[in-house]
Amino acid sequence: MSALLELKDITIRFGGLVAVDGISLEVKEGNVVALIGPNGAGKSTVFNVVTGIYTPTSGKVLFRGEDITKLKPYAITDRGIARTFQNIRLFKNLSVLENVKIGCHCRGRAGIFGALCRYSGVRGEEKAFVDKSLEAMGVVDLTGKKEELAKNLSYGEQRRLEIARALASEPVLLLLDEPAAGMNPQEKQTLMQMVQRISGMGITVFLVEHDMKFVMSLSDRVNVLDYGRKIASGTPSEVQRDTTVIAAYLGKEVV
Amino acid sequence: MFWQQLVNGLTLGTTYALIALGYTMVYGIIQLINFAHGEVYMIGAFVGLIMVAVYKVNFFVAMLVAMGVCVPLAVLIERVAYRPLRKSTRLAPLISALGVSIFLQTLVTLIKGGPNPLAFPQVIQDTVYVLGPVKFSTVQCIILIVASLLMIFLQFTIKYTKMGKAMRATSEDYETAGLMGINVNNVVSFTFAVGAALAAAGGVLVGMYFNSIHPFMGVSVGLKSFCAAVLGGIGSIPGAMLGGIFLGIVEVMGVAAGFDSYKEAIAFGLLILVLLFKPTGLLGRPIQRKV
Amino acid sequence: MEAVMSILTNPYYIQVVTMVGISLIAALGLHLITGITGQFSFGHAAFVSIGAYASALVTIHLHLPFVLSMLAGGLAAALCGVLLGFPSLRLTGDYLGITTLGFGEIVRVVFINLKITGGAGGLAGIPRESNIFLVYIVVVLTIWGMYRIQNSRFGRALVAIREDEIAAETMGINPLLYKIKAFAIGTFVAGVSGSLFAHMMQYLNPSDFGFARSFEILNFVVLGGLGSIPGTILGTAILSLAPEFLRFVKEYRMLIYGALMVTMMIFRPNGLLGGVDVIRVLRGYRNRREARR
Ligand SMILES: Nc1ncnc2c1ncn2[C@@H]1O[C@H](COP(=O)(O)OP(=O)(O)O)[C@@H](O)[C@H]1O
Ligand SMILES: [Mg+2]
Repeated sequence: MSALLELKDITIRFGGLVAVDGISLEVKEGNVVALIGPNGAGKSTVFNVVTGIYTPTSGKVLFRGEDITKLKPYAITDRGIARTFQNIRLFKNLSVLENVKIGCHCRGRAGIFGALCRYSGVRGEEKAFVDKSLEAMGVVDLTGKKEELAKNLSYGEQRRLEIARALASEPVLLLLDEPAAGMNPQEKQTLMQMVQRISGMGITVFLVEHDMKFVMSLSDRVNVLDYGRKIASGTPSEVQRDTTVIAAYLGKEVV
Repeated sequence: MFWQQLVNGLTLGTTYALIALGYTMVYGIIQLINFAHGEVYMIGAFVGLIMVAVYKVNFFVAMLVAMGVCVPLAVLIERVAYRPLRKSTRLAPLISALGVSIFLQTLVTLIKGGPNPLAFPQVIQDTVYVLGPVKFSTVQCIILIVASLLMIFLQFTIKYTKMGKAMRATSEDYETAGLMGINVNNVVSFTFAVGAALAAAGGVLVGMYFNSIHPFMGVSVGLKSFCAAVLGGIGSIPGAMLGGIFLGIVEVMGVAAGFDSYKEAIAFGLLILVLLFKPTGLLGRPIQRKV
Repeated sequence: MEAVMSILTNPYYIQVVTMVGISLIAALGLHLITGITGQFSFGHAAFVSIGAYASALVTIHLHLPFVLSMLAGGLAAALCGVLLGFPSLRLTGDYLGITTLGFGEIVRVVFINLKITGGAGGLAGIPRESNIFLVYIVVVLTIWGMYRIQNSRFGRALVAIREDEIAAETMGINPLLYKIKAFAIGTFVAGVSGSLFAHMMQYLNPSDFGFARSFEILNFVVLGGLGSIPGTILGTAILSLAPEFLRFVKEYRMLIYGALMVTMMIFRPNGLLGGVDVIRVLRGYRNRREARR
């Protein structure tokens, strides 16, 4: 199997700070791949590079063999990469359904003319958006909240809504930035099942997470960052035995 | 000729700079375009005129009294019209500022009994000094010297006093400054006070320079000075000085070059041009979007 | 009855009500730009003036039917909107605001200097082609169009940009493109409003379209309730009629107007109808009434 996503020697600097330092890694199609490391290690920055929010100082991002390093975020979403944010970025004053419908945006065509005339093609597209949104909300168990405003949801629900919104763009690759942060153990358990369900739908998952139980039981492969460098990668059990990893990070948290 | 225009531009520019400083400091701290700042400048000019014409005081005393009136006025404006809106949407305080601005213009028109201009009495013996190719009038000298002194004094306050440090910290990060025990409300009031003092001085100086003041004089000068602040990089104090002087020179040169009828557009044309190439102004820090 | 008739046919009142309609059209254009897309525009009156002058010149010199010159006015304004939008919509927030304000002032100064528009003396001799019925037909069409836009894929993209531009971009929305489109429509509508104004007043003067007017239109949109069409309608109606009702206070009129702006913002910072979903409220009211039966 070839790699769906490939980072080649990515470096990114912010002024004097090297946030990501020569990282190369691969995400294979159909896998659940984790990116772990202490706070400030550069994990979110890697996600921002993959989704085009930051342009790396040097290095390349390949998606399905295509160089997407310099593409704008919207063009990258269009090619099939969707994400959630560590610090939730929902459209707070809109309803849950509207949030997810915006996720469908790049799979639609209707423009200004369609908005004004609302001919049958446009009505059909709207209907399809609603159906697809409800389906995505179903995956994360939010169907019952569709009229609720996003800002009135609980923290865990907001995180799940972000996932639904990302799913609505029909991604091939889904990036989840600390999806379980702030959730209680029970919510984490359900979330784990949801991620498995998403993976079962054939979507490749690339996730950042601090909860080691979550990471180790879900992932096919784990990459470890520390101070912007990749210090290890392998299967969960390989990484757990890796002495540099234990020294840098795991030793404190995992038995 | 060129050197003479440069001096004239510099004189006009320093008055823009004096007013631009008030915009830039307030913006640096609470990200508000204080549209009523032009009216503070206008009121400063009127108070100066009253002092000189009615009470026959010395010009510098008049300037001090103008400052003494404008400082509490600006602090009051902030208290009443902006502070309650500090946590609301961006446009709410802006509209409130416009309301204050309309209110003050009308108030002064009513008190004065009409919108037409008043002549500023000639209180300074206007001698002309010749220095090589350029002529300085006494008024120009006073403007350049007073404005420079005020700006040096401001730099000193900001660099070395405790309040100045608090101002810098607050403009760096409002929230954190508050958490670090800085009384941000006092800092904001102080910022408005300093801005108003400079604007009042500017008003009196300009009234004397152009010899005419009216209730709507703050509108155009205010907008242009705000342009100057953005031009130099809003939030940056040296930026406001640079922007003001730059704008004054370009405007005077533009008029001299025959663009007289486009005078009111020069500032805005310059601003748009600069922003297209340097989106945060000449000395502004680039915005790095954080996710 | 006679008294009612005399009020209804009083030319002055008709003029005032027509002006409210014309202002409302311009305000709805700004509603799309600022209320829906969240982009500051402090130079909206300039686009109204571009539409007004362009359509007036088309009518005077080309003798086209009014509908066509109205279209020409709208298109001229939209063209300028796009030309300004391309470079400046990369700027954010206040920077965009001050740029549009500057653009507005430049446009005004240009009209003062142009020969063909009559310069500072103004442009007279425009035939009277618009009337209250035509104005309100356009008002209804514009409101209808805005509602359709708001409930479409296009409109949702605009709202997404307002709510969180980075999130919108990661949802596959090209923010610059959509902002320019919103600007094009909003300025088109402003231009149409200007055309109606020109062919109603039969005289144009650059001083009617300064930044004071731009901020007045912004006021309509913000004081009524940013992002809400009923709010925009309410704000425009109240603020356009306020000077009429405040006539009895004579010279204190603008004093009260300014003070009202401050007090309204302090007590309703989101505008009169800000945060009120009028349609939801009405639906709730209807449901409750049906439940009682
Ligand atoms: N836009 C930015 N400007 C400056 N520094 C940044 C920016 N984004 C991230 N950083 C810095 O890069 C480092 C890595 O951050 P991040 O990727 O968020 O870490 P994490 O692994 O916790 O997700 C941190 O030191 C952070 O402060
Ligand atoms: Mg992170």
